[in-house]
Amino acid sequence: MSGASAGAKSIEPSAWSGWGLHPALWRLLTLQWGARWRGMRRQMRTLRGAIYSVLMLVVFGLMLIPSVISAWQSPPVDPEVPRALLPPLMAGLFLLTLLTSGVDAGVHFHPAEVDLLFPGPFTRRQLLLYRIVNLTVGLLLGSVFFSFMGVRWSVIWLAGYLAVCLSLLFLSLLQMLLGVLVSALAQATVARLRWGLVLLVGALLGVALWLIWPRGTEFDLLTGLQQLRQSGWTAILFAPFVALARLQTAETWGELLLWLTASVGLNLGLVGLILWSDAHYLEQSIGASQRMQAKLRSARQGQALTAGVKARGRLRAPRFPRLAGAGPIAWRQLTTALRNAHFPVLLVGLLSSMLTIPLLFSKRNLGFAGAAPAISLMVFLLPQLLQYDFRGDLERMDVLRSLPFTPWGVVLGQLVAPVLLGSTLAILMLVGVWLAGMLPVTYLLVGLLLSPAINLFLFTCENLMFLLFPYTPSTGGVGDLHVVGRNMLLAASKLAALLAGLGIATAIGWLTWMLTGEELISFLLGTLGALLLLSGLLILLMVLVYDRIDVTKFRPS
Amino acid sequence: MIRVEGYTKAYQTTLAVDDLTFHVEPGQVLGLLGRNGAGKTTTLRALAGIIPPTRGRLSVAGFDLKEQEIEAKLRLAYIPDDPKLFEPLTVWEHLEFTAMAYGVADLADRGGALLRQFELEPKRDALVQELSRGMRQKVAICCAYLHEPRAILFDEPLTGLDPRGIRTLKESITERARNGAAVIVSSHLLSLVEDLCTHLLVLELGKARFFGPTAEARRVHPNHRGDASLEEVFFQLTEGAAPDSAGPSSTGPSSAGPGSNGPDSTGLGATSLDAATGAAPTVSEPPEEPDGGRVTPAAGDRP
Repeated sequence: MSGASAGAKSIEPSAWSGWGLHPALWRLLTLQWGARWRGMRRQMRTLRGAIYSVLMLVVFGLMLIPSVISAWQSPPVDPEVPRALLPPLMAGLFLLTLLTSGVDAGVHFHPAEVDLLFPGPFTRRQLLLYRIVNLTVGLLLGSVFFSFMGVRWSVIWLAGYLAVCLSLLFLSLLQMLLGVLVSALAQATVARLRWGLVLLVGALLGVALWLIWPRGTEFDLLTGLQQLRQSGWTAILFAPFVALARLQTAETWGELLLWLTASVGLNLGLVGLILWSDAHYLEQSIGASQRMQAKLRSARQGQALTAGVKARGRLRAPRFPRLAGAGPIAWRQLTTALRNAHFPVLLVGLLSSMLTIPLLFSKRNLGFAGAAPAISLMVFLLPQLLQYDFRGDLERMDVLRSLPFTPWGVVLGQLVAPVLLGSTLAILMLVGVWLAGMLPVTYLLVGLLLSPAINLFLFTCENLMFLLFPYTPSTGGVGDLHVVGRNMLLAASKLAALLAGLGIATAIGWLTWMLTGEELISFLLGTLGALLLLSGLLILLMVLVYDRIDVTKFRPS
Repeated sequence: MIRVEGYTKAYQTTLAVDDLTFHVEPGQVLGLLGRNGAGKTTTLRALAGIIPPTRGRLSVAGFDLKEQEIEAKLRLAYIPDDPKLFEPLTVWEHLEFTAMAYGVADLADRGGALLRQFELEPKRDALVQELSRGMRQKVAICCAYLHEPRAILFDEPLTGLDPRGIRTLKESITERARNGAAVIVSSHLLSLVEDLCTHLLVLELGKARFFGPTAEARRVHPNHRGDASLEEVFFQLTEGAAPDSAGPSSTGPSSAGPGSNGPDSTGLGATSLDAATGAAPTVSEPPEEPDGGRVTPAAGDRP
């Protein structure tokens, strides 16, 4: 045997005792950055990779150009606006991240880092420093995009860029500090404190809302936020964010330097606190890292909105007859959906409120416009939120194919849960708007009748696209231009197909309305018929595609 | 080399490992056995310095994992079940990083030899994301071996390996033990343990059911006289008797010499417990235990 150890001399290792980041961790960082650049160049060498990369750049360009042109043609936004908006916005963003990611998410590491670095000869401080350096470099690059997106919000572009970078770093460091502190406390203590913290945050939000709630006839959000920023405890709470907002809106180079110093000082202060604590966070980090990876994996499979949602309760859908397999498939998906229902219901409720509350201030019946929030949520949000169909079975396509069901049974069974839930949520939204007095009863009835058909069309379209062009998992690296470009192209095509289908159905409805003496019922029946016909055709196509599907194309990440 | 004394790991409502005491000397290969949830990975992770113990002392090569964590980690290697690697890096870049981390000077020689040994030389410049699961496992093993660790911890090491890879790994483990390393192999594959391990530690619900030389374990089985298969022994230890509910079960250490697979040379004996039946523990040597069913470590074994 040619064992490496056969003639190897024993190594007497010694710990690195220098200050700062371990040289091996520096080397690892440079190797990783180099590898990303290498991956990008490798992809650009193939024709398909080059096309997708150009496409991605075009999409980014299309996102940035309007902002840049707008900044060029019109004066910058009044600095007082971002100064009032940014502190509560950043505080809100931080709270939202905590609520959705958990308090220990700040200390998550990549799985390879957990497996290779945690047992390695590195101190906990060195590992945290490694993560902070890696994070900072990523933000220095990523902030370029965001700084151009919000170029109108700063007088000096460089100030805006630095503010975006330092703000994102500050939020990440704050989360990391919290994660480290949580690790330092016993788990039981954290569990005891959790509800206290939730109540405290709720009380703070309540007070904040009370402060900005309109008391006169006119509602002025800006004035409300300015009051909030200047009043008592909120001034203290927002103080760090105020420094970052002032950097964003610096009007002279002197101001830029002053607020840059303050912002860098804030970040360095947090870094100091994190390293000083030296908590034993590794164990906590393993759990946080596993959760974060599960979320990223779901997000890369196109399930960004439902990533990390855990099933709650033991609700069960009623048993359906077998119906060539449609029954069991629908039962499984519906049961899964019911157990995850808390999340879509909460999100739809939250977004509906956000879209509807501004309309409520107008205190008038808006006619068809009153249904706009419900329609936009139904078309754009629900299909992404309710992936209890083929898309949710990405990792189980081979098992699905092995079941003794006909293609018709599988396809119809997969559509039951999302269509049923989507229609229920859409109807609830419409009823809510009607109860608020913002929607005439006629439009409500139209909505009630058309919602199931629209949802059937939407989910059929989504699933057909999925079967034809399964998601290609991305590793999420900067060098993954190929996959990002492809997924962007697919998303754009899907949206175009959806809008075209809905447009055709509406046009047929309108034509029927014209031909039959302008009766509303004619429009309804015409649109309904068109939607059902289109959906039927798409279902037929789905069956044909599913019958000939190559399951090896469905690769989970 | 590896010493664990009174190791206890408790979570909010669960006692994952309860008062575990054992040690592995240079040249010994300890098989860590137990059903799912027995506490095997928790024990290995604690030994790798990833999770802190709730109570107890753990040390590697004489360095306490709490007080001298880095010194201990410099001398150990941990290969987790299905190890994750840095996807965009090449095989050689993984070795390069490991060499820097552990201060390995002759990377070219050692790294080259390991790649040859594990048949990875043709993949030297391949990105690990392009490799099969078995090959990734081999890369992780090469990284682990690079600094000639004195203590090696394997968690299900054969996952994904082909027959040639399995043979190479088994040979390498035996060879490293022969050269003085202390090795712990956690596995559900009893045949692997039977082939490789000089000693056994059987865990059940976080408690030690047996610790001692493999040959002694065979005598645990009531119907045999030292010729029971490891599978029979395992089921006897984990299912034939419920774990001790009266309190923590300590285990007696065994200090067989390097590479020893025979009876305990120190006379301290290997032990197993059968609290459910109230029977005296099956003990090889010495035949009598002082506390009637529970075995305490030998004097001087605790700090």
